[in-house]
Amino acid sequence: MPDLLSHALIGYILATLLGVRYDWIDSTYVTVVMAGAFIPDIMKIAIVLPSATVSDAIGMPFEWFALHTLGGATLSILIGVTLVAPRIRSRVGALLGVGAVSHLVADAMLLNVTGRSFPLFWPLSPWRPPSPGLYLSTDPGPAFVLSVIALLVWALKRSTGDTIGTSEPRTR
Amino acid sequence: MLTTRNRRLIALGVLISALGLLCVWYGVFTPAPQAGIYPGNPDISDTPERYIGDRVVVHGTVVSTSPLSIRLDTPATPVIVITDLDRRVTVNQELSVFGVLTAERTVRANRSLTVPKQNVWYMYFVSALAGLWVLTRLLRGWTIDWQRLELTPADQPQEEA
Repeated sequence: MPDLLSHALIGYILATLLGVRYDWIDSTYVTVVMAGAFIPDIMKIAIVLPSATVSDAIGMPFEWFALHTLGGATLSILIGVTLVAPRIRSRVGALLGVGAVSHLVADAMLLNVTGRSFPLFWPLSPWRPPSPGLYLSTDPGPAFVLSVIALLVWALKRSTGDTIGTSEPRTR
Repeated sequence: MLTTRNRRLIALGVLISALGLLCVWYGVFTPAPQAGIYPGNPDISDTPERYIGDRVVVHGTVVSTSPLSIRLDTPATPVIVITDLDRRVTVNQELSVFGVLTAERTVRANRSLTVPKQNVWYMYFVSALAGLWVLTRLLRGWTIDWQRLELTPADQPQEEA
């Protein structure tokens, strides 16, 4: 996957741009999109607790990668939605969704030795789409380009005098 | 309505169990090349005899350059010999190979990928940085009500239950 910084930057950029259209998306909610962008990589828990270890312990097949699919992301988003007040649930759910989907799409373009990406639509489909193979998760290129874009977006917002990203009180 | 601590705990229990089941279900995936699901490390490690002659994907650490061999990261840590590789590699590099399993422990390479070690360190470093960035934003922008197990935006008063 592109490194987590790239995912966080994509979330930041998308959320700040969405905030142009939906003015309730302030700094608090930009953070929600960025958190959503981390969701699929919860599967990285496999680095400290390998799938094979869990599988042996429970006596059944087990693969953390399920968390890095549409199904896994949906359940994780529902967990996030459970933890907030009912009146902001649809906002939080939608924004976590934006973040998580942006992560899955960015990862689907990773260079892969088979030329195919991962089953991002699972469990709806086991299909692994062909990947355009744009970058490796270890390439510094994406984070550099995205940092520049994020800075531009941030500067643009500040120069238009918008309250997004600042701590000024807002009337709702 | 899911507004109390107990109801939230129940919901979380259900959702986390569902996630666990999802991980078990995903673990049952069997190779299906027509869907782009090629036999990988676990298959080659446990039952290589099923896939001789098939296209497979293996990745591991280079343990020898003569013959070129990689050690897979599965519990059995088998060593696989790679033939026909069109790139130079050194011991300890991470190597991914897509090719044909010509014998139980031999893959004839079709395509391959390596990652320089310093790039892996770079990735871990910036990912940790990103984690800190988002965590800081979360801690500043949201507060936790432990009594109701609820997150609220820090700049908004909490609703009365």
